[in-house]
Amino acid sequence: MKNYKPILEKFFKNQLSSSEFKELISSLKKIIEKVLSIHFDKTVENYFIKYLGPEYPTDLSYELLQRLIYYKDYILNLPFIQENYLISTSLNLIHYHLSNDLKNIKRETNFEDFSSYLNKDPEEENLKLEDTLPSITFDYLENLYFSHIIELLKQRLTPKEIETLCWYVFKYTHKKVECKVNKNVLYKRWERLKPKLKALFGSENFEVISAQKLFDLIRSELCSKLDYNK
Amino acid sequence: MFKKDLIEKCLALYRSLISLEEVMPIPVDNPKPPRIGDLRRIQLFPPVYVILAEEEDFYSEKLYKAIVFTEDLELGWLKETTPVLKLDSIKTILVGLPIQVWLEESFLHKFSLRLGTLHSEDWTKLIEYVEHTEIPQTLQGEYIRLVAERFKPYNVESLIKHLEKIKFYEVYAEAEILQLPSKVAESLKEYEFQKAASSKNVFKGKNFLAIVETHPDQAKLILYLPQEYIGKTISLWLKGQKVFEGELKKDKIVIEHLPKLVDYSFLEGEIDVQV
Repeated sequence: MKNYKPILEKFFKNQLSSSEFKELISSLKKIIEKVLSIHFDKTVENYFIKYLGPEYPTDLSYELLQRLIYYKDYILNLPFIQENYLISTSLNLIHYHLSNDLKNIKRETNFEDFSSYLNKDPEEENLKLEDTLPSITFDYLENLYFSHIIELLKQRLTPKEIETLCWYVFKYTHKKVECKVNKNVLYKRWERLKPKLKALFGSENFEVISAQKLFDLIRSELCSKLDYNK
Repeated sequence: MFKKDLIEKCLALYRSLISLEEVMPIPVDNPKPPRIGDLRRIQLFPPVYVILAEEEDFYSEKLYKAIVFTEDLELGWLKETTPVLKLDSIKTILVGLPIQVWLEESFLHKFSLRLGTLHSEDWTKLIEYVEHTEIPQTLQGEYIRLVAERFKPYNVESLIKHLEKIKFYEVYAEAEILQLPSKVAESLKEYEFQKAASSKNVFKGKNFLAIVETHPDQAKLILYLPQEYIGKTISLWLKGQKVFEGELKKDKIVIEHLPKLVDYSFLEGEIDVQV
């Protein structure tokens, strides 16, 4: 497992040669690219290209380095800096920029610029909770949450419970459903299923289940083999 | 559009970070005293963030109710009302988790970095989110419990007013239940009508934290002991009399059937735990 601490330590002490600096940026760029390919899709890629051009992973690797500077006292006290920590930090950095409409990205940063950041401490901020997330971040988080729910439903519900859930979803979205199972039986099954769903998602999250997007996903992922009248 | 269960990947990533030996909290270079509204980064690895939402005097120092925030958006975001904070100065975005912990002033002062101050109008929003959001039985719920568990050594849990919530955390759920020997109970009756000038039901000893819970029919003494005592033989003394001796199986002991008294302040100097 590669330890990034030695090179970062040297960087924080302003002791890197320009070739070592390039090497560091190149390693960070690979990490950024890895995070982008695993976590994000074409929508996000196109968004970055639109505003930053095709070299956006390089811009983001400079941003990552700048963020690591903000954490330098903390990082210098860690015994080991593993790649997974940088992956996790990059992921948050990308979310930060996406949620900020990429407004806070500094372009064309060079080695000399970084030297000037090294001795600056970040300022304390007056904070307010965000009222909303931009749609690109909200959709990303919601999609992740929904696809996780679908996986859990597949794993944790019995075939009868899936049948009942599908009946409920079709009833909700299509108002009228034809099903071979007696309606009263389905209502009873639904009442039994509700607490299980609530426990799974947390009762306060239950309202999310009524979201059209999730219902569409349930229909396509769980109900496609069931004989419901569409 | 949908990447297949990335939440599982994110949890694996988080586990890979905490699976390394937990780094002791790192002291900050320029410590600043905690105050209500602070957003502070607890210098654990990976770091955890807290907003200090309430302050209480405890013993000779202050305790802060801290709402936990995280950098792990995928794992911490549960719904549209999940609190979100953006920190432009360090290019970081955080989401609130539905958990709160009580932390000591000295711990916060030494091991957390103040990053900013949350506008007072938002404090109640945070508390409402924590109190009205249940931890789901999903991988996100598993993550939230893992974060809660990491706070265990620093969380002054005996003072948590929302013990009901803690029932969800398996790590806190179990306790060793003891019945107070009748002889000891009898000896406590001398305090039946005694009331101290400043009444207390929470005590901090050199190796324990204790709280007296009063119920209509009885009172209970809840002791929180250091986790490293588990497996060791301990003896527990109350007013010079042995209440328990044996191997400690859990770090929480509940002594039931304490007599109903007007005030339990006298216990402050009467509890002794020996290892």
